[in-house]
Amino acid sequence: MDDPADTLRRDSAELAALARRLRDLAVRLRADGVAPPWFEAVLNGQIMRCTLASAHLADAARRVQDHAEALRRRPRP
Amino acid sequence: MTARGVTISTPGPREKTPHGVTISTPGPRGKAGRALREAAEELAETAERIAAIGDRATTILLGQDLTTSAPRSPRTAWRAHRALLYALTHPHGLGHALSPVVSPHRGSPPNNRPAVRESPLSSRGSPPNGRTPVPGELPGGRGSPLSDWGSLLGGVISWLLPPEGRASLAGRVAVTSLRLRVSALALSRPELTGAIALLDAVATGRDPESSGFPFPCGGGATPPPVAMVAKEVAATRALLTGHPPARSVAGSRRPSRAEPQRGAPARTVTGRDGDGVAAERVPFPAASGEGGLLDYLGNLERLGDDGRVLLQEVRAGGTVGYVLQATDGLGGGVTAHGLHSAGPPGSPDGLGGAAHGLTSVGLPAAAHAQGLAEAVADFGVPDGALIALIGHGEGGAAVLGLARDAAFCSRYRVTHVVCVGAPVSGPPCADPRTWVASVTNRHDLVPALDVLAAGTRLDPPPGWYTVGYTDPAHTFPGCHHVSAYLANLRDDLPVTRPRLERRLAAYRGPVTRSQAYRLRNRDLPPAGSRCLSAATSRADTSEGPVEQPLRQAAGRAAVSLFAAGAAITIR
Repeated sequence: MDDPADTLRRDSAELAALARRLRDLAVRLRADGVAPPWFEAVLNGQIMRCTLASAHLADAARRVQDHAEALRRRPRP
Repeated sequence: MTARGVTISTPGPREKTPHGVTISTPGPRGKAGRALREAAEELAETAERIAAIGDRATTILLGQDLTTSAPRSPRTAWRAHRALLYALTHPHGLGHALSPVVSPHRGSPPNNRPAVRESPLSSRGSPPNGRTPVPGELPGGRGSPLSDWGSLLGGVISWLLPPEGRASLAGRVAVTSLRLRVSALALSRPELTGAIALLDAVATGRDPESSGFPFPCGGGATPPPVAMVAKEVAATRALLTGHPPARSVAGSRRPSRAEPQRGAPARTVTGRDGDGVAAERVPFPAASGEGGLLDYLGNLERLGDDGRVLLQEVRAGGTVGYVLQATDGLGGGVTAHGLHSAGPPGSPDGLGGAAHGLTSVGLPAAAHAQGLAEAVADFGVPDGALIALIGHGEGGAAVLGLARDAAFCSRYRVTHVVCVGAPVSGPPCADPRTWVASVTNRHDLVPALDVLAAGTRLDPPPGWYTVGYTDPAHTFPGCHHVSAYLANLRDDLPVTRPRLERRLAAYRGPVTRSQAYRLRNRDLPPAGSRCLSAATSRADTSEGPVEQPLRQAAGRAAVSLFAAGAAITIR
């Protein structure tokens, strides 16, 4: 049974990993000399977005975790 | 090149036939092209994973666990909601990633992690939407209230966001994948050098012709360049605008089941899904008495493209097989919006009908499959019988939909699917033993329309036998007609035709029984109307029963009435 905060944390980590994968891809194509001229700038923007989205999800995970703990502290009516 | 200038390309190795037809591997050759295509595939997979992350976050945001527990701790619930909404809409992060639907495919977490089924926030541990999720399905699947509210919220937020912020990160990455595909193609086809500018024009909402990319339509020795990138152009538009809906299609191996993020689905408003498609028997005395590839295509030619299908029982040697033949124009009969396309073969009306039929979020495909299955059952095909499916244009898309129907394939043994001039992208068949062939004139734009369907992959599944050829004698839309395909297969494709005939040997022999069917909506149009069919319902009023919406046979105007007479009440 996964809890939502765990799911969000894992997805945050996955986005960070995807950012690294995109960076590796850019390096590989550059090394092969086959990257189109527009490619690196476009991909860099998307890598930044992945990194930022990862941080957003990590924050969301913390907020959801806080909410779950608040519920546990309060008795059910 | 043949004497008539016909060039063929298939996934197979390059070879010369005795008749001079050239069969070659399509697309870019060499290391650079291969590297770009592999990179495009990698980006497409990345886009899928990002989209799945958005799906899961949406499920948590809109799930009842978080919502129903909010009164117990409003402040922390508000902060959690706000953080999730921020993550799902930030233009420099995930972009507009609110997902209106959480599908089993998309929802399946990567790395074989178990799907989220239940939340510790759930007070009773019951499914949030009150039903038991199917294995692998996240709470709030297609058709659930969660899905519908997600769609509605997505539509509202999409409307609030500036145009540049409406595309999700997943969509942007998928578009980068498409650009790489086009770049790879341009390595071996210099005429496509300007295609990236075309994609950019489409992506930014500019007039495609402002890109300077040439737009001739047929008439030359090679297909028009725009035809070669039509899928990528359509997918780019779909990914970035949501019209038609397709957020992550670039080379995806999995079908998306996204719905449009433009407000609540009709289902939410009307509370009904429609009643599907029926098959009714119609006479067709011109059916060939012999079974064979050219005979079946000849039947399609004689049937025309008005949406009829033909079923035949064939005796080949000691076995009995069944052949379903579906004509183009099926979508004209049963499109989601109920319009019948009445244009002549290849006319813009017919093509428009085809396009619409293929862009309606899977409804027509499912509806067609239902109607075709009904025709097969009515014909008396016994369970477990061998059946081959042959279709042209929309008929090809429809029979492929049937071959993807697990229920149908568990009842019958679908051995072969042969499509001519048909869009064949998308998921593989339900029965992995089914052999699929696709024959396409590269001048024909109809096969490129499949990418307009929600979330289909751009290429057919691996292992399918696909043949593309060019014939300078043909221009679009004329080259789409089944007569043109029949003539090409008969006269110009001496390698492809024998190969198809060998594969269909089990269906070559005398025809012992034939029956034609016409597919049509169960929601009947008014008597005499060629235009309008619509989902209807009956309501009892103080003045007697009425059928809603009110329709008439004459005229083509749509009238909506919002006021009711004080003396008439609906019980």
